Amino acid sequence: MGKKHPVLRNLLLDAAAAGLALTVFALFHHVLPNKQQSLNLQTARPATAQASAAETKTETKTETETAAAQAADNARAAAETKTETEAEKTFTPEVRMTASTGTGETGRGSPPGRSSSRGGGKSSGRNSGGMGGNSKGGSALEESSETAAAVSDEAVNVPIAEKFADKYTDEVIETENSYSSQDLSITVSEVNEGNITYYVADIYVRDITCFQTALASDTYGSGFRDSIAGMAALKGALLAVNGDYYGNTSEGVVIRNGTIYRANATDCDVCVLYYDGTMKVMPGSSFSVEEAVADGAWQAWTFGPALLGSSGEVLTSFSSPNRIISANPRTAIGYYEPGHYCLVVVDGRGESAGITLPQLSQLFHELGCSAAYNLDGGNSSIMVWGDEVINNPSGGGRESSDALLIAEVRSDE
Amino acid sequence: MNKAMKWMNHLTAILGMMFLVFLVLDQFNPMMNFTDNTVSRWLLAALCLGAIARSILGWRREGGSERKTDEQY
Repeated sequence: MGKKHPVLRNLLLDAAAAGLALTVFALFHHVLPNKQQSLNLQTARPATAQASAAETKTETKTETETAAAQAADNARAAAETKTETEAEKTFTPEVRMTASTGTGETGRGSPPGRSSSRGGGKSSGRNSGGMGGNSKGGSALEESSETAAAVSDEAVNVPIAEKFADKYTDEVIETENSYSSQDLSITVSEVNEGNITYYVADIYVRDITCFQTALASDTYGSGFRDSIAGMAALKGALLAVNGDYYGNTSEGVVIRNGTIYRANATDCDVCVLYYDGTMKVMPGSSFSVEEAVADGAWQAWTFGPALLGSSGEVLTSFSSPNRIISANPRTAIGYYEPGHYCLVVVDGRGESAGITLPQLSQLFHELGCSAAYNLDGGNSSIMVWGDEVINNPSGGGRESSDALLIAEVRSDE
Repeated sequence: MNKAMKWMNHLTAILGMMFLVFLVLDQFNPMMNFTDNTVSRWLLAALCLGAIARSILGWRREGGSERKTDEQY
């Protein structure tokens, strides 16, 4: 064949070489565990929590990251006094944060002991016609350089403990589909709407460190994967959903439990949760690590897109490919106001058809959120309540590199 | 010259195939950022350089054969 068909021979040889190169590329980038270093930055967390931080990072900065790190250090120093006072104003339980792990690395809450039945709280939900995504939202994110949730300064500055005092209970109260304590209130409901099944976890946190993230194998890097239930169990989480699967790519902002691991934003929208309880979704081009540090970023995810416009309006157009926009299993986070969030997981590719991005946008609008952000979906979409996966993950689900957790951090009494 | 040409052919073909795979994968999972990460940018640069070098070598060969043809007549 070699002499008769030299072109075919060369093509086959080159295809084999390309396949080999791609395999090596995939192995080193996605499969083999590769521990990576953080930026060695602490975000501008409240002073008391900073003092109690259990994380002592000794990682060295890479050359490319040094400039950003130095700039962020300067910004942090400048913002330190401001952040301390603001944090005290907006978050009352710093004293408790001192007593707790601070970094939220260890949740101490016991998972609600529930029966094997589904999340319960079934509701008929809204009319299926309600998710048509009729209203025009456009790509509002592109228009405004930074889209924060539409929360007034007054709302932000009211201490969360006062604002949602009626949601918390002195004693821990657990039911099949709810949990409440002095710091947390979670209600999980399963909604069947036409051919779509989704799960909504309505969450109130008095202490933002209850809103944690977990990394697979407790290690930052590529190639580390763990089940959501496994990560939830390890951290003693009450509720867990999959995160943005940061390990799938080497770029994009990654801030977890107050530690900046990666700060190179991509074109994707970035979602940042701050120590003061606010959540902002912004285009990657508007993200600045200095600003994030100065504003006290507690978590940041890179996936997207943003699901609501700058003033909470429904978005009907997305720049993602049609394959991504179409009906799929989804995981997303919604933000009402500081201390009040929701996590939504939509089943798909089975009895439940999944949901399109415009439908998801409509859903969050109807839930009353002022900002919402799409996380990793497809087979990754998993919600764990207590120690049980309560949704029907497509293809049986898959392991992920990170998870969002709601866990108790109080070191009680 | 012929050896360089041969290697350039292989280089451009291999890199071209790799990028076709990246493009297909990118359609299925854009979040994995196959086409715009640091490694693929270097590979793209190599593909461009390989293609340019391949073109230059090809032109030189064309020029040489044209000169030979002119001299013959």
